[in-house]
Amino acid sequence: MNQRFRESDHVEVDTLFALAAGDLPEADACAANVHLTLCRACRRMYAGARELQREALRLGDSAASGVDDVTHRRIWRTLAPEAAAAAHRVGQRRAWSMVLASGRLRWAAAIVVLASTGLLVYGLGRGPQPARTGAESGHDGAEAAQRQGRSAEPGQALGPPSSSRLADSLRQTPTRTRRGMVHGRLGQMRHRRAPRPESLVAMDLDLTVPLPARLAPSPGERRLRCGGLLVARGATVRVVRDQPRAALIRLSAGHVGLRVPKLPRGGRVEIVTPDARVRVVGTRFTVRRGQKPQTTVTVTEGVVWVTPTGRNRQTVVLRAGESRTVLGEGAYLKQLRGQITAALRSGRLQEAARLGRRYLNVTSKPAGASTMKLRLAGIVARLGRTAEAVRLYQDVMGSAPQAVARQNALAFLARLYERLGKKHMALGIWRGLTQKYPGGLFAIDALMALVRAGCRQVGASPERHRRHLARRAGGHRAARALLRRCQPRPRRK
Amino acid sequence: MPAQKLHMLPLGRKEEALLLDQLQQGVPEAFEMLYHHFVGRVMGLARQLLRDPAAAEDAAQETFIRVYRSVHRFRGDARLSTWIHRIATNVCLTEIERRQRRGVQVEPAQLPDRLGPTPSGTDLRLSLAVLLERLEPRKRAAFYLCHVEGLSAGEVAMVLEESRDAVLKRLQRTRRELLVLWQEVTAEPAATRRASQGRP
Repeated sequence: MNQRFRESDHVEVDTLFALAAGDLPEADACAANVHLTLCRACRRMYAGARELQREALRLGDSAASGVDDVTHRRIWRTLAPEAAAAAHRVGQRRAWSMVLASGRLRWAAAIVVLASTGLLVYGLGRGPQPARTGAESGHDGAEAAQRQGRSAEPGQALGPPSSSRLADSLRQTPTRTRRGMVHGRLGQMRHRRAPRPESLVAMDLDLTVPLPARLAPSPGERRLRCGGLLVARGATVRVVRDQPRAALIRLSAGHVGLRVPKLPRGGRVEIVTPDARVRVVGTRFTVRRGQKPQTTVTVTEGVVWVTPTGRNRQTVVLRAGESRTVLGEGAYLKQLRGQITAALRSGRLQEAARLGRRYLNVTSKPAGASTMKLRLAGIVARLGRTAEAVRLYQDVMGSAPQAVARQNALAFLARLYERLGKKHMALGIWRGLTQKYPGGLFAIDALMALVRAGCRQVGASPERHRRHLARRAGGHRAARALLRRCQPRPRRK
Repeated sequence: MPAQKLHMLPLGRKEEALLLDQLQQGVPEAFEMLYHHFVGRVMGLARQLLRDPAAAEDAAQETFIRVYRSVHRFRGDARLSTWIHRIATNVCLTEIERRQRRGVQVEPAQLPDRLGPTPSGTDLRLSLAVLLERLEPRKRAAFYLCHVEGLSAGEVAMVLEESRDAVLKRLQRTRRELLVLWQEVTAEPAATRRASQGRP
């Protein structure tokens, strides 16, 4: 890394992209950040890299969701026969490989071939037979009826359901020879197929499939033990708890409908999505969660309580005929951030501060909270409420999980004190910053402030700090000059 | 009940392995699920590379047909998504070469004017899409796969059938080129930026 800085005064483009993506190791990130503090050209490049990175991610999202369902279906209509043929081919290949792999089946195949040969010889001796009809073979007739979507006729023997297409195709293949019919009982030969491992695919949607629940793709319904009926369409859904008086359903994506009869006292059915918790005691409603981080609840009968995720968010009560889309915590906070930016751009500081406080009320993530506290402190400082700004900075210094936020808070507070004319307090903070984060983001700023104030002693061990800073500064001329200036003079005897 | 939702969440490694297992057993629904899970990404890639929605649709179809026909031969050395990306990229690059041989010209995208001080997200996204279109196809593919699809350099190398070093070099050149273009488009006065960040 240091080699990279020695070769050139500027940070490489790849390093900037890695820094923007958060992929750079901490030491390298620190070094790059120090260089960025000093170099305006690199800072501009870094801002560009960050924007490009962010927009690239958004471009991916919009590319994936930008194709409408009509196009999807049109393509699928073309592909469906190909998919079916491919599945058939693969299934056949697998069935044959299993037949060949299994020693027992090999024996069975040999016996069947022998029996067929015997019957062929017998048939040749007896002459041609009339073709067999579906009615004559109860088993095959029932299966044919099943294939055609009808139920088997009464009196027809309903054989076991077919287990593979290979067996089907063998049954359908006419085994008539030139000289007569061979009734080799191929129809009864059942090719064993490997059991589906934790079957993720089932058009009849077994919603209790535990493992890859997010893969359950298909429409289906399930009767709950409380008497409710859950209907899913292309949903990723999992029934977490199913009890006579309570049920908990987790919906990750897709669309589900639920009809719940009036539950006894204390009974409760809940659907939890990443954005909201929907609670009912007896009603009919649907819940939808698509690609966007939001959940739409539509109530047909009864009353539903919808509580969005996040702290201090209001529960919405929906009655019959009402529908509401609620944003998840992340999306709501993102919306608030956008509103704050817009308010700041148009100079509405009061509103920005109000939104910032709202953000702090809702967020449950300490990292996000400390970032917003820094932002809010800047806003309230501009509004002249310095005491509140100082309190916010101190909060961040004491509680922020990220070292970067703590450094930011220290530096911003020092600058605030400088602006307020409290130079000695600012100096104390800069000194503390130099001691606590000698190679940090604001090391050079702190050093410059101390040098400007005439300090010759920059920390507990100035020599070590100087060497460290000189290494991290990446050979920047101004930094080197400053470092030379603050070298301690030799003591006079 | 409305129609089935077709966009699906991206799959993890374990789920991809499970899906592959089902595909190699010939379960018909797995083929449909494969389509629903990957069509968005394949279409996105095809649109970005071919710059023509109709051609992108054809390329997506061709990709899935190839996937269906050869899924039984896939050994699982790479991730299923990487393999599908590789097929899609090959289909698109072949189509581009075919067009070039035939002399079919796609209208070059207009470089957007300088954006205002408060560009919307859509403006920025459109600008990036247009800037990407100005790159040569392999560079575009490398950048798209790495930064939009989030593939690692090794995976991009597998997709483009190049060495990892070659991909890294190509990515470096692409990023530099894009960054210069991006700065031309989105130059914003520093004062506005500071004010919007609400910092003292």
